[in-house]
Amino acid sequence: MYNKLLKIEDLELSFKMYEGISYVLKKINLDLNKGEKVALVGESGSGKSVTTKLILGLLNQKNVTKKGKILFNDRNILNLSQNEFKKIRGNNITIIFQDPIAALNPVFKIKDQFYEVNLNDKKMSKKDSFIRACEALNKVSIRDPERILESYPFQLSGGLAQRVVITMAMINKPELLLADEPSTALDVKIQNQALDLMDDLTRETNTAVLLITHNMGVVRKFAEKVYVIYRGVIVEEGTKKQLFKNPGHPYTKALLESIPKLSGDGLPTHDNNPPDYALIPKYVH
Amino acid sequence: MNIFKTKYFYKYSRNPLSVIGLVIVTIVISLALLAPYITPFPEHVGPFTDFANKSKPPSWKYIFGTDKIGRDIFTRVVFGYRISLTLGFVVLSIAVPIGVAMGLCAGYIGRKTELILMRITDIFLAIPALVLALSIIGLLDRPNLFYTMIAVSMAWWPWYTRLIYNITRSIKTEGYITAAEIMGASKLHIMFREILPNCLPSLLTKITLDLGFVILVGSSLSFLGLGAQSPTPDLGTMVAKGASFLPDTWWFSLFPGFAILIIVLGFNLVGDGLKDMFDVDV
Amino acid sequence: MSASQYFIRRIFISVIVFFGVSIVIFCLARLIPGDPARIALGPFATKEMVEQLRETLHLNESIFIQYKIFIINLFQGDLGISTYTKRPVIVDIISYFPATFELILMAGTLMLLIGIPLGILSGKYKDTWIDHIARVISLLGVVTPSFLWAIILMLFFAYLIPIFPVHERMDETLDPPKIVTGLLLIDSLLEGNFRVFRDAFSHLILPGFAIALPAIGNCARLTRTNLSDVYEKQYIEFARSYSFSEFKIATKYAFKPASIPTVTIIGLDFAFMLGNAFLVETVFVWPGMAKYGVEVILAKDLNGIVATALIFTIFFLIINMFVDFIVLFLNPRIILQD
Repeated sequence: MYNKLLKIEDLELSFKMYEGISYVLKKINLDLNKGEKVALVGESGSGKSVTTKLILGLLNQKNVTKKGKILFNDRNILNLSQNEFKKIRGNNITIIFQDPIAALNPVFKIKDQFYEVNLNDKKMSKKDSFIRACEALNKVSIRDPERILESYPFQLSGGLAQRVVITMAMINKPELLLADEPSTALDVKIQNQALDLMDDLTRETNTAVLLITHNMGVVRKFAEKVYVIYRGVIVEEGTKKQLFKNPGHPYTKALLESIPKLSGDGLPTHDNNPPDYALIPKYVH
Repeated sequence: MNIFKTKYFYKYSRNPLSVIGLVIVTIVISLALLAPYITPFPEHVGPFTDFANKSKPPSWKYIFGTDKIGRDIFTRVVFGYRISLTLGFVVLSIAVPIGVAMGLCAGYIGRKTELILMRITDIFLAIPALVLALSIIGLLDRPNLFYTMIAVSMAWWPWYTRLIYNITRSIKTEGYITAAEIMGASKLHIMFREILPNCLPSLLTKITLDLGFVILVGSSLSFLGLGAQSPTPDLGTMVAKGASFLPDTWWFSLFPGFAILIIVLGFNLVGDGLKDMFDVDV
Repeated sequence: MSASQYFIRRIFISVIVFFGVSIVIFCLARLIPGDPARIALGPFATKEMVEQLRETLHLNESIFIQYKIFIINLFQGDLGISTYTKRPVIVDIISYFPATFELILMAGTLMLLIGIPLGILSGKYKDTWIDHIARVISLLGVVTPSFLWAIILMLFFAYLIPIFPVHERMDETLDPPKIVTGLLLIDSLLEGNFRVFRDAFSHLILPGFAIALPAIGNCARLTRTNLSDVYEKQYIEFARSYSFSEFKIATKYAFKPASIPTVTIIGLDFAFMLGNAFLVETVFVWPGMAKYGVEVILAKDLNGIVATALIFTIFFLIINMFVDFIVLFLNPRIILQD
């Protein structure tokens, strides 16, 4: 029990809207061990991104009802105060987003953003922050870190920006890294490089990774364990091998089938009348 | 189709301020339209004097009091709304077509046309609106409402040019425009039947907001003595004439002044509501 | 392109626009119905007097020649004689412009000092009671005509609670300071004359607010919108995810990107305030360019009107250029991006 870094128990989330109540997450269960790489796969609107917001306590909408528990190191962080979250964010749990350039403030230099990330809960001079950032960037084989730090986000290429953001995420050696559709905005080669980088860094610090994605290729490359989510419900969970070899739930099968294969079988056929996947019970390997 | 059930109306009515604005505008327009029938003393609008009842404070008979020559201020304010609203509608009926046409041409036809039209627009935009309007009126021989309308229109059209120009440029490269071009549609057709409809939300919003601001500028001009002349009941003129008699007979200036505030507020609230509803930026 | 290239380009455009404006104003002045000479001299002047004035004013020449003469004279500092004040217009400008300039500066300062913080509060605490109150204040500012504000402020602070004066720039019983800049606040400070400084300041307050209130409202609303747009952006979500201090986010990381579109519109707000100056100077009997402008318009003084329009336009062009440079400073993209 105390080996689990993150354990989400029966998490429910609903919003009150004009049309009625919208149930976004319906009793989600998910867990992560220290250093484990877990993927949460689903399509848009399945509720996967919202989960990361809840983990970080960044969901600030009104008319929200939360139930269940999110246990981080055996501590329920679901309803923590903003002050408490501040200690965790950027320190124990960090996040990287889809579009690295959008994640960086366009009117400030990279070094300024590193400064704030470095500051977190401690004091540090700008000079020390600069040196620390240089070291970190050197480690990820970015040549010329000084020039990068003095640049503005729009001056960096997508791939470079992503490496910078990953560095920022790892510089405080977090226990958990949330990766929300990382590199979806970039092309495939860069995506792979970014994933490799993430892999290396997290292995070194034994950081667990919760990878949110809709891309099965990324899952195959990176994840150890997989959860499949559909409309706020976990429909399948298992290791990567199990899932790809023997997908149990029809939705997982549909996801896997929709990947075009290079082997010349042509485009996948599409079932025009899929069953309501949410009604089919969860498949556990 | 029941307008009250549309998604737009729903979104609009979520905001209480927008609804209040709509109510204000409706009331004022109704008052203005029905002015001769609902005001207690419609004859006070023309040449009329009643020195026995001059400078009377607000009472049940004279709701806003009477002015220096005995005319009922309430009646004159309601008729004054007629003038203000007329000003607003006429000015925009002139400024909007000119501005929109220029903006469409400059944005879509491009190159030389764009260069010339936009430079001209920039020049007019470089002159602060009130200054331009003042200059124009000042140079005409006798100030009156008609000249005010012309002057304010001249100051207003460039804003529409710029708005439409920006929108045109941003949708110029859209698929449906290219499709129409390939099918051989004339430039005129594309501008007026493809691009213009896409400008409508921003246009409607801006027009609504501008109705208020034109009235504001118009009343400022009359305040300086350059608008409609006596005995026509212009709200700005009434404030100006009453200003010398502050603070004792405060009702001379304050009621017309607040009347201006209310109608400008109304159009502003409706415009803001439309802005949120259409999700545009003018 | 570098900063200096941008600088030169802006000045070049402004100069072209200025010439364009001068043509427009000039044409308006010459193309209106009525004979300017006749109007200036009044209905009792004889035909010969009118004809003589027409010759002096070159009114019989072609419009191109008239414009050429106008421009040549302009660059020599000769804007003609005002038929209203009977002195060279340039002298009128020198006498009256500083008063308006000081007033606009005061109004501009008020707009920034009050409008921006109000907008930040509104944007930061969006949809709370702070936001609602601030929005109501802003709205009232925007929809109330300047002259009405002037009257209201007068009633309140001069008649109801007499704190501030409502006429002229300075108490007549005091000696004015030596004229260095024409700005009373600066000139009195240069002399160390605090009594005059305080007096001039108290005279500036009410008209300053009357001009500034609509602009304060507009500025607050804009800052609010731009700030709340920025708060939705991903880099702010990133900042929050990494525990940047909320205070720093509000005043720095959200504020700086939000200020760029705001500053651009502030330039337009100055145009708005320049217009309001005409109303407020009239109500407060402020001896400035705007009041002069109103008087020459009513007196049909051609030279005066043209000069007033030109001065205000130049003022506005300079402000806009200034604003552009501030934006340049805030937004690194303009220079660095190719």
